[in-house]
Amino acid sequence: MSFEGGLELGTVKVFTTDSRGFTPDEMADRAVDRLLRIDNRSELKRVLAQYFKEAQESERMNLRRILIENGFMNAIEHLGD
Amino acid sequence: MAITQAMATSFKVEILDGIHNFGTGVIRASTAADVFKIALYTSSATLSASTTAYTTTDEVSSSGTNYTAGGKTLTISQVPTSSSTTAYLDFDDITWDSATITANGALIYNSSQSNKAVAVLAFGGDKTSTAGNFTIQFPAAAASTAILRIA
Repeated sequence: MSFEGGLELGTVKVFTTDSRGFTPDEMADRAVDRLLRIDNRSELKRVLAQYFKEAQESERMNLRRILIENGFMNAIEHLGD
Repeated sequence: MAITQAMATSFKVEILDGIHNFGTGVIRASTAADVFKIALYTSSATLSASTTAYTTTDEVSSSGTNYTAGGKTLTISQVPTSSSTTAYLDFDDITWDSATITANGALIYNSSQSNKAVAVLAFGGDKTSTAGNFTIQFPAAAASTAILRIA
């Protein structure tokens, strides 16, 4: 007698950008795959918060790049990480 | 009444929790979860099921910017759990920002256990960010998709 089963590995996706953060459309694309399978409120809130945080970081990265390109190096220190 | 041969689903979860120890020489000084990291590699790297531990050989650190050797620490977003008879866990997505990176794959490893290898991820080709985001998105935390599953 035997039974099936085993250790399985999921598939990751890689997303990259050039000289900018993610756009809202790109963030939405990334979020959909994960959100569709969430069936409880607390996990949904946690994942959404994570994506919103990433969106903020992407925008901060865009701002940091604009400041650098225009010579406002000192201002970058006030943006934080 | 009937007897159905099976591996207990609770056991599968407990394997991921580190509850059972069939080997020798494993010392657990803490009840906290181990620290798992992910490192990126170029296409020159040789990584496979035979990989036993993290290595700096062909890691992207030598060519990338805003990438530190050893990679990043993963956040366990779903502690080991089960659905039907499958145990699984999940990690949060990970991003290197303002980074210039070209990577062909990654290694998940356990930095709490001598950097022992957990899983090799092949991206299917070179992925490049230029002064931008390099993000690895983990699959949905579900029995049929999660990154690490015991079915």
